[in-house]
Amino acid sequence: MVSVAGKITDEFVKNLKSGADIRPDQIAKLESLLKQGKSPKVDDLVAVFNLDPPPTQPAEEGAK
Amino acid sequence: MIKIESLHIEELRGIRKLSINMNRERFAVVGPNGSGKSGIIDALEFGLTGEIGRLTGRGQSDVSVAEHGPHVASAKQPEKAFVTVKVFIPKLNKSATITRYVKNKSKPTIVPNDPAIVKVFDEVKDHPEMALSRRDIVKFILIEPAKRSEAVQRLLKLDEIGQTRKLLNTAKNRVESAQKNAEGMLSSSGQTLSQAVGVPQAKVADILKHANTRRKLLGLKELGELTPETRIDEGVVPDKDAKPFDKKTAVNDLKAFIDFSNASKASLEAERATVENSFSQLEGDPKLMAAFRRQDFYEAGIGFISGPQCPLCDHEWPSEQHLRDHVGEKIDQSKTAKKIQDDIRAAGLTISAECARVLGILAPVRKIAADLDDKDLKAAIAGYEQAVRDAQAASGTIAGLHKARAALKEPGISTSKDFQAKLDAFLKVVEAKPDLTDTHAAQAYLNTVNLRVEDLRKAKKAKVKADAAAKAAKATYDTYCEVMEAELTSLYEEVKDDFAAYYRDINHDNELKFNAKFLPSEGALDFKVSFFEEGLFPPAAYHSEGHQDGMGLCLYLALMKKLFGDQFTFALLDDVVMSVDAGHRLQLCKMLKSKFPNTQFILTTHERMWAEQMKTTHLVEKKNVLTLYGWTLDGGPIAESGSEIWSEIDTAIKKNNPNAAAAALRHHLEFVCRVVAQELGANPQFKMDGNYDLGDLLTANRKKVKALFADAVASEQSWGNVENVKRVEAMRQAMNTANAQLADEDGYLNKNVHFNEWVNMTGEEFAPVAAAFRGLLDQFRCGKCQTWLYVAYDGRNPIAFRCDCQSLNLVKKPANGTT
Repeated sequence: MVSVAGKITDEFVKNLKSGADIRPDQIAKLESLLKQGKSPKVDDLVAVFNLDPPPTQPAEEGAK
Repeated sequence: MIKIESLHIEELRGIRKLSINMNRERFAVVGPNGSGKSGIIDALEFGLTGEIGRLTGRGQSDVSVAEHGPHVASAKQPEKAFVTVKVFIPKLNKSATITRYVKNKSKPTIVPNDPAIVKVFDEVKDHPEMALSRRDIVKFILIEPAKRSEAVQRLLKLDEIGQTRKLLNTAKNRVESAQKNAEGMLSSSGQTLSQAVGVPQAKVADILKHANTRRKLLGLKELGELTPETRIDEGVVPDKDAKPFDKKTAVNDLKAFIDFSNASKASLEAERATVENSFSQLEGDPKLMAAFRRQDFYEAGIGFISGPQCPLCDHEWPSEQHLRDHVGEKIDQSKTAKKIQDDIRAAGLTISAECARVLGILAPVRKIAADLDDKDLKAAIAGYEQAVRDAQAASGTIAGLHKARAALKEPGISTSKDFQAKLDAFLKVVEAKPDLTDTHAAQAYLNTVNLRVEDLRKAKKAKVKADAAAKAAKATYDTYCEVMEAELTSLYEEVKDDFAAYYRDINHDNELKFNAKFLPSEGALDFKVSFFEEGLFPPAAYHSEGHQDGMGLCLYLALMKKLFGDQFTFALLDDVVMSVDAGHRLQLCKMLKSKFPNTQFILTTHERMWAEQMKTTHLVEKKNVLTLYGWTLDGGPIAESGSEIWSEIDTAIKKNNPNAAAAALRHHLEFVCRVVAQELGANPQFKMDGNYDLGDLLTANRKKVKALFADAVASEQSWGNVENVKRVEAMRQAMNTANAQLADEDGYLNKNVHFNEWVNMTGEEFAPVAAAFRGLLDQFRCGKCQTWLYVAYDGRNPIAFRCDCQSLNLVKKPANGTT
């Protein structure tokens, strides 16, 4: 059975990843909220947008 | 998802007790109006979903499953009314039964109670759209665009998408509001820093210049640059004995706030006017205002609906859908207020940012009052700060702005006269303070500027974070809307193409170039169809009711295909195309069979001819037709299941019931003679209304087959096909014999054809009449494959007289090349 909502979520996540306005860790949280099987709460969505960037890994720093 | 194996009904709707074997195959229920056909559909729907669409739809508020589901004789005994449905689940390759009582309709018994099976039944329950009635068809075709969009979206389970879009929009609004506040804080931090530095708009060079002057005075190293780590007061040692009061900065801060509060009386004028005018507009339209006030409530409320009981007042609605529709209508009413809301929200954001700025500029004043321990002013400041914070919080939501509307009528973020008087008096007290020594003044200056640089850094960080959050929220919302719009447009395109293809299949005789266009726009779905290549028009503009019925069914099928894909294994079609004429119904049968070979359609009709067409086209096999002859209050539907027409007639004759035998024979003859006429290309005398009676058709068919035999003999002779010539001669002889036998019954024939006078006959007297007709009809079909003989065409030219298995295949074209 086709879930139009599920298909839209997948495509939405894919498009977000190809943009630069939101970080991957935020996208992952959003995806998890949208796929949890019930409507997300507004507070949880707002928290995702205000999420601090994850600390940079030393290995990454070295690579940079 | 499922296919129906069997159904057992007791005391439900018009049925007392009935068992039906549906064999996981397409099934038809045929019978006159009021014979209990729809009761069978109701029972299936109830067994699978716990609801009966006919009792819970729009305009059905006075009936309910609980009260009107049981048979009228058991109305007070819902514990007696139940349905057991045995289904096959293809994807699990398992059979299971579900038994549901009206008394306890939300708790069916499922056997086996395997979680995978229960999950399938839950999915089925979530899809009441598997049952389609003619009334439902109207939802797709003859309805305003907004309602059509709702019906289509509900069918495709798109409600969730709209809900997600709204939540993302709300989150975006909140993040944008926070961004505006951060902007206000940044602005006030810049201003208070400038006040401390002592210049109108402090720049890095100003800060370094003025700070270094003090640092030099104190013998400290001058600052070369201002980095994020730079401390303006680095090296300053606080004087433990003295608590120097920085009069100059304090005066600056106080004057700045007094000037700001005076200036702010004229600020926000446009925003206040917007808020006031918008609310006035809403108040001018009580309905708009009511919907507007309760919008948040309705939108929140619809999320709490789980079942037919109102989550607020416990009122029991006929169904969950009924309640959802009711709340949905309320939400719709508030849509007109959307533009007004947007204006109010924008004004609120500006007010909120200004509040943040006020609080920032007030902060140094609060500190001065605390340093000088002016209790009266401290209390006044605390009160004012709270009022500003309240205004800031209220400005973030429409409801809050409405509540704080009276306060917003005051100019700007207004200070009371009493508060202003206190500030003026306090300024005089501060100005009367002694000036600091140069050393203390320099120390205090560097300390204050350092603190305010820190505040500015924090405000900048907060602004950067708020900007990023707002950017992320906007990108998220915009992306979701774009994807949603693209996906829905593509979905509607696909559905449209399938819809048009199905419709062309049914109407290939005159609408081979039929096309349609779906025009989705926010909250609506406009729908236009072509009419003889003259352009696109609303479906009701030029198409007949029958064509509109066909369109409704085709759109439903296209949507179901999109929704379920290869899991579209089951649908209940209750008297759905009664306005479609016989020719198009025949094509419909073929279309359903060819386009949906794995879907178990359960169809009802009161037209025996359509039932016959279903059998002829093998849409439904003969064993899968349940014929209902009538209905009684005590017994329910009168059904004689599983017998095909001749066994029905024989049974009626044996029961000495010539009436039933005659009715069945008449219906059968009326149908068969039409089929034969079509297959042979017989030409009864033309009637404009196409209403040919049995006599017209019998005569034309006999005449046509006689001509075909003559042509066949001539053609086969010309080709030298001796065996075929002999065969045709034998068929011609058999036809003559059959006609002769019918002629023996001629005394009855005309009456039989035109009037129902069999009522005066016995079963024994009627038997030879039936046998004579049967003998005649047998001459029109192949004894091997049992299909009706037909003329095959190449374009418009007849090329052969044959049957489906082609054990009979007589050439129409003679050897000399002429027909």
